[in-house]
Amino acid sequence: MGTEAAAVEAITGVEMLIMAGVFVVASAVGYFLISRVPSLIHTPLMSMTNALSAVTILGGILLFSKEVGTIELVLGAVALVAASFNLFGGYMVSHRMLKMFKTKKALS
Amino acid sequence: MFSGIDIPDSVVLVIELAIIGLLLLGISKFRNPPGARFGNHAALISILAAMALVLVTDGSRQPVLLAVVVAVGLVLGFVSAFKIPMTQMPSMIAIQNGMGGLASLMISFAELGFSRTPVSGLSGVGGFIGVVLGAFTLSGSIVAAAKLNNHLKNQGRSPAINPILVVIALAVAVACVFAWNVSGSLVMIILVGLVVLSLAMGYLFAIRIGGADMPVVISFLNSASGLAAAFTGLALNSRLLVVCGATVGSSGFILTAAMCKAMNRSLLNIFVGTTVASKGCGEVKSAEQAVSDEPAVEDSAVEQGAADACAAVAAIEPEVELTFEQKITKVACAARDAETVVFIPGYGMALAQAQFAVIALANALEKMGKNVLFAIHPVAGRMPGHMNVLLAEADVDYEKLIEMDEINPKFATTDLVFVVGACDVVNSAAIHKEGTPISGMPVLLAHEAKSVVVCNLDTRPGYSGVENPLYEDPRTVMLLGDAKATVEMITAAVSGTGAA
Repeated sequence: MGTEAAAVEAITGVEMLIMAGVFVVASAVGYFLISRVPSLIHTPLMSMTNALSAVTILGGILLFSKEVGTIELVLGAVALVAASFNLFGGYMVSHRMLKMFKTKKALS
Repeated sequence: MFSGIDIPDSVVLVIELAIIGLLLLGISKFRNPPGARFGNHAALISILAAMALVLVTDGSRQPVLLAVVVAVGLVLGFVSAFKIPMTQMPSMIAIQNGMGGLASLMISFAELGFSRTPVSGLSGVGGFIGVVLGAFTLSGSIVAAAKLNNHLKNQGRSPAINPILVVIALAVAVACVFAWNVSGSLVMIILVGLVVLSLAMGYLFAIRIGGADMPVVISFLNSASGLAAAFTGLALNSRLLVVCGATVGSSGFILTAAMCKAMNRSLLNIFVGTTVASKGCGEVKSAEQAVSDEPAVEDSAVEQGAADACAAVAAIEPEVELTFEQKITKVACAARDAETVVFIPGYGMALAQAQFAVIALANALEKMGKNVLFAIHPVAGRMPGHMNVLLAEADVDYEKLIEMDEINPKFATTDLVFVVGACDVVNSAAIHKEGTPISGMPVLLAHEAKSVVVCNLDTRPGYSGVENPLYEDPRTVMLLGDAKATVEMITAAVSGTGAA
């Protein structure tokens, strides 16, 4: 990390370290929270986190906010369709599965 | 076109923190199904809020196109999510995963390949890794989905190419890192090369892993798609992307590790190992074929008086091989006498579409006042937690679905165990034998119960190829054939004897 930081311009140095820190902290918090999820709902957990990985949709929105050429527009459009499919599809399959989990009281 | 509103950085940061807080709150609610329902809503709302925030701060030059493409993805996502049957859920999740990878690939590619400013620093490295992971996730997930739908067969070849490709791709990526102020066309050449290599890597990774290793593949690809998003976030300098991506990466990593542990295999062994995945138990024939093998039901066996039938079967010498009908009667008698009954479902049960028949039997036993539980091995099914979903769909009270560590101490006091379409997860050779592929693998201790009924298609060993001593145990009744028909016969016999 240190050598990399020295290699780039000073303006990105601090930001870079912050981003690296955000990455490490988010990984640790995610690990802590998710290791406590019971295996009963591992499948819905996975489809929910799957939907979260569609957060790259923000990248597509950012791309469309800039002055870009046709190729980038196409790349962005593909990314947005894919990410939107992943986000809403992942949310909906999680929801469908979680709705099926019932206790005896709810069943009778 | 509309331009963004100038909001002070500090305000943006506060909003971002609120979004991340809601997201983490949502994930922390994944402790039980009702909490998870809230968590799932919270996760969606966080992402939608993040999208709104970016739109407000940065504006959009293509608002119409943006709305149209997002709407297309939304409709496709919703329609496919509603249509997919629960047994096909692993392949649906693999496809969604692949789409996440595709999005990361496209965004990182656009950011690096067409950037006005020179590619440099952590964002440059992040972008390259985002491209590699995105392409890897895309091709790997498509192959995994195709295999889960039986469109592709397992191929045991090319074991060594995989690690070599990984090393080459990493070397190229590192070279890019050290030469990040390269000119535009060279960046494009490197990017295209990386994409091709990574796509090949994903394909080779998934093509030779199959059958029982699928839960590991799906979890690993889940982790990779999250990391792809996180590294894309580094390329874009977006905190929200990094946080969400890293969380998903962690989640996938935890599930991958749990699956590896439950299967007694190291991740390295699954990636580069030369073991060719064979068919799991109950997968040898399709359910339709199996039905023709099934013995005819004789109503007379059911109609006999309970005491007479039980006495008649009990009177048969132990050396004499029982007929199928006699075995059913014996099982029904044992079930009537049992106080605690545990079901061990495996993927064979789902293949035989026997889950509803199994639940009917469980409900019949419960009505007779018996304590009925389901023992769920971590790798039962084709992805983590899959068996729980299949049973929940068949309306089992989820509080009766018990994890392996919790149920194992209870087998010693269990009267009767029904194994339905499961084999390696109840293979006691894992405990008693040294040097087999499953030695040391955690299994469900079915052999500790007073008696065991196995409703499998055949006695062939499971994926591991290790013979199951449970099948030879004198306390075990083997009911081979289509599990659905067998379980229905037991239910009829139990209800018949119970009423008599």
